This record gives sequence, C-alpha cells and structure tokens, in this order.
Amino acid sequence: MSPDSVDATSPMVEELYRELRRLASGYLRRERARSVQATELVHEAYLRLLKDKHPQWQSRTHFLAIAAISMRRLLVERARARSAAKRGGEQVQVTLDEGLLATRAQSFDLVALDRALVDLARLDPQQARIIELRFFGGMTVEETADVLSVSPATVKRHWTIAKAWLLRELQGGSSA
Amino acid sequence: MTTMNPDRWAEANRLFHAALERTPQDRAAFLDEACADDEQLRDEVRSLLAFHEEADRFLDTPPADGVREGQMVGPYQLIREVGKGGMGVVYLAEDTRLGRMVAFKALPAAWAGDAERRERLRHEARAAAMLSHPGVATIYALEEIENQLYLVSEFVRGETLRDELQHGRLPLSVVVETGLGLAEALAAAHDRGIVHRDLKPENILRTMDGRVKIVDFGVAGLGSSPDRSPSPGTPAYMSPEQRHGGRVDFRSDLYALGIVLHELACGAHPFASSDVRAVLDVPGPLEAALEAVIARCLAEDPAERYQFTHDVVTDLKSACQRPTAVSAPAGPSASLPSTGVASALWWWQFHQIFITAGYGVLLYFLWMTRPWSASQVGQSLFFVAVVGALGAGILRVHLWFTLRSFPADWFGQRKRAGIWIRLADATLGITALTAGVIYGTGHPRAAALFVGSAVGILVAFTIIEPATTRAASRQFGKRENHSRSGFRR
Repeated sequence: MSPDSVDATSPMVEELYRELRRLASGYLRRERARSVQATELVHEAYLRLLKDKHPQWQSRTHFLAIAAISMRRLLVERARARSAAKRGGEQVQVTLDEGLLATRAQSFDLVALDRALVDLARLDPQQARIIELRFFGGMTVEETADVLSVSPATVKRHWTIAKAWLLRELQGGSSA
Repeated sequence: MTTMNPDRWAEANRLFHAALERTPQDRAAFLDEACADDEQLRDEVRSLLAFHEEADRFLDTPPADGVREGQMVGPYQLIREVGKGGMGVVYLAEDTRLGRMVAFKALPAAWAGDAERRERLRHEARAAAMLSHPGVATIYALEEIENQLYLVSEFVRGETLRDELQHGRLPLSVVVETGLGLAEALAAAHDRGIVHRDLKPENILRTMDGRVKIVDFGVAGLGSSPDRSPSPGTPAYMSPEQRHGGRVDFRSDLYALGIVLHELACGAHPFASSDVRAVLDVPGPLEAALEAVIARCLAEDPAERYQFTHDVVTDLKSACQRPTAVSAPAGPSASLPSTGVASALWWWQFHQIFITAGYGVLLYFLWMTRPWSASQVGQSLFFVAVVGALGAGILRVHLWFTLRSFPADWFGQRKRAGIWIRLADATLGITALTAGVIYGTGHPRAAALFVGSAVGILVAFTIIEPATTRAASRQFGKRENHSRSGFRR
C-alpha cells in the first residue's frame, strides 16, 4: 500500500491519533507550563511504535505520512474544542498555545487553516497534501517528494504557491 | 475567487511560477501580456504574488499543542485574549515594569522581516505615540522582542462599532454624536499630520461612558504597502485613491469616516446599495445635515471632500444644535409605543417610576427606625440613603422625562446616566443591608424588611433592569427606524 493512498479514515491513522493524543496529554501533565511541538510528539510516537516492531509501518516516511494526518486532526480538534469552551463562557484559566504561536511566528488559528486546506484540496489535492505532510508531519522537502513520488522541485513549487494562497485565505478571513 | 476551478488553478499556477522567474519589474508587463483577455486570472496571479512576498516564514514553525499560564513576552505578562483584529490577535497584558494594563498585539511575522516596512512602522508609531486625545487609544510602544514586532497601546474596555452594528442601525442623534467624536479625534490627529489609513467600525470602540475611541492610529494602514496590489488592507473602507495606489492623505480618512457614518445611520455599507442617496433619502433637518456631511466625505475626488477636518466637526456640531434637529414623532403621546401596556418601553418606564417610589418607601422606613440604633448610626444611614435615593431618583426621572419629551436624546442620555444610577443603587442596597444587620437582634421584622429590600435592589440591579433596558433599547431602535421610514413615504 502506498503511503499516499492512506486516507483519514484508515485504522492506522486512528491508532496513531490515539497514541499522539496520549503522548500529548502526558507531556502536558508532566510539564505544566510547557508546550509540545508537533514534531517532537511525532518523533516520540515513532520511537515508541518502532519498539513494538509494528509490521504495518513500511518506513519512516510511511509513518510520517500517516502521522501528518493524525496530527492535523489532533491539533484542529483541540483548537476547536478550546474555542468552543471560550464561546460557551466557561472560565478558561489557561491561555492556550495557539496564542503563544500567534505572538511568535503565526497569527492564524488552526481551525481556519484546516478549513482552508479543505478548500485547497478541491483545487489541487496534491498541494493540500504537501502542506499537511510538511506542516503537520514536519517532513522535509525530500521526504515529502519521496512519499508523493514526485521531484523535490515540484514539492517546492507547490509549497510556494500553496502557502501564498493559504495566507491570503487566512488574512482575508480575519480582516473582514 | 468564485470562479476558481482546478483547471483555472493549474493555469494560475503556471503563470505564477513563470512570473516568479522574471524580475519583479517585469512581472506586471508579463502578466498583462499573458492574460490579455482574462483580467480575473491576472488579478488572481498578482494577488498570489503579493501574498507570496508575505508568506516567506509562513508555516515554517511547526504547530504546537499545549498550555501556558500567563506567558511572559519580554516585560509583558499576557492575561487573556480579547479579540482578533485585522492584524492579529489582541491580548490584554500587564506591563510589569509600570504595572499598567495594556492592549498587546502581535504584528504579522512578515512585517519584522521587511526592513523598509519596519522603518515606516517605527516612524508612524513614533508620530502616533505623541497623540494624546480622549478619542484616540494612545500608542505606548512598538516593541521588538525575539524578532517579532508588537504594538502596545492603551487598553480600552468597550464594544467595537461593528459589534453595535450587529443590532442594526443606530438612532440618528447617536450617529451624529458618534460622528462628532470621531471627527474631533481625527482633527486632532490630522493637525499633527497623522493619518489613520484604516478607519472602519472594527477599529472604533465605544467605552462604557458612551464615548468613541479610535484604535491603531497610524499603524493599521501599514498592512499594505502602496507598491503591492491588490493590497491586503480593508478594501471596503478604502478611498478611491487608496485603492488605486495614489497619494494617501487625511482626506482618505474622511472618506472612510463617510462610510462609517453611513453604515451607522443606515445599517449598511453605502455601496451595498447602488445609490448612496437612496438609502439615506429622508427629509428632516438632522437627516439632511448628516447626509450632506456624508456625501461630502464620500466624494470620489479628494479635492471635493472637506479640505479641513475641523470643518466636519463644525458641520456636525451645527447639525446637533439645530432646534428642530430632534427627529422625534410629533408629541409625547405619539412617542409612546402603540403596542400597548405589555411593550418593553412601557415596562422600562414603569420600572423607573416604581423604583423611584421604592426609594421613597425605603427612606421613610430608615427615618422611622432611626431612633432604634445607638447614637448617630441611624442618622448616618438615613443621610447616606438620602444621597443615593436623590441621585438615582433624579436621574431615573430625568431619563423618563427625556424619553417622553426628547426621545432622540434618550439613547445617549441613558448610556451616560447608567453607571451613576447603578452606583447609587449599590449605595442604597448596602445601606439597607447595613440597617438590616444593625437592627437584626432588636427588631427582627424591621431587619427582615431591610434585608428583603437589599435583596430586591440587588435583583433589580443585576437581572431586571439590564433586561428591561435592553428590550427597551431594541424597541426604541425599531421605533426610530419606523418613524423614519414613515417619513419617507
């Protein structure tokens, strides 16, 4: 099975999703004031599952390709749950990490990014997949090219224009 | 893009990359030639190229998940998110060096990397920071912490005009007053050569006392640089010269002011309807004066707009002072809602009179029970209550009278008086409670009465009054609209 043919409903995605979620909450319990980077989590999950000698993982890139989908789902769901909690008027005592990100390098929310990616997939599914693999899966250009069986140059080209398109979508949404 | 489909997207991709291979100077000509008969495609590629410049570090940092409590950014302790603006997330933060609360805003990451823009931003922020006017949220600092720019400014508690517009248009007298506040603030800025560049309802806050405050002076408009088109600013509020990359001066702000005032008065953006006048075409002195101001602000050619922001102030002031300016229905009887006793405005009036009468009863009991307490305590309680009851009673009767006689002023008056009435109510509640506690042992029945009234005041204060006032305001707004559409016919 080629890694790219894995979709979001695959049992492997589900399994990884649960593993990542467990790891994430473990991290956050142990070190309250710390945030967890997606790549860190994915890496730890990989080492863990490697120990189990999981037969399904054909390679590291195969694993990462699936982890990207799980990671996207995990982060978007958590962001959505937190914004729902805020709207519901619940007392939110903790300030959340999207905020931390916003003050550093990103000022967009993951839910909006997720939505924009769905739209992008309608125009060019491969571009959306490249964003998913690179941003959520933390894969390099070469690894992404390997997974999608295209040249690194193609990945770079798609990455460039997809980023411009997404940025416009996100900024257009927030300034209205 | 509404007409974008996979095929057109592939074409846009091809042109985008072909354009990227050319020098920035050659790109426009290349695109003009390549999309000779397809303007939409050209605009799409151009816009993507503009965003490509900004997207440099976008998505470079991996996403993270986690919690943090009161993160520190430099000397600023973030307290909570208070909103998302056009430029990014806004936090309430504490400046730990000075111990004051500030609005803390992270500017888009790309801005820090753009040396020219950063310089311009610094220049503008320096100018805007000199500006001190009650109608402007003062800029405290432009900070650069770990390669990221942050704008620190006065924290304003209140709703944006965009929030207010969610409930529909505002009463005309409020629009004129708001316009006056905005024009005065703009005049103060324009006197110092500071231009806002991105005036819109999202950037205007109304504070608890009903005043307006403009935020992000001078820096908001820097989101777009003139050499990049189409710009990522707020096109709906841009003047023609701004949209076309022309010279932007204070008259662009006046154009935006015209749009904002129109939106407040009519509940809709002027160009949502094909004809500006069609929406505001209502006879009546206030309407005519406001309409004239708006029309002049909205002139396509900056030379035909006001040439002096103080003239806008003067015109709006004279609109306010016209004796016939009150666009109210003819007489007091006509000002009352026709829907009968159950209407919200009736309840609101009933509430005012009932509570005022209640003050009298409370005073009477405090007077009667005065001798029960040791020495001067009863006396003091009575006098505190007199002060509270007089204050709140006078204001309540004043509001009631305003509603019946000068309905146009009611909305503004109510906003202004609200806080004082609540303060006086709180005083009365505390007095009644104190009386209840003091008389508790000797006179349990009287004590129960006092505690009961304290609870009553508390309930009226926290639940009943806000509800009736909200309902009355809504009905009042509707009635104003009604009476205006009545005029039109």
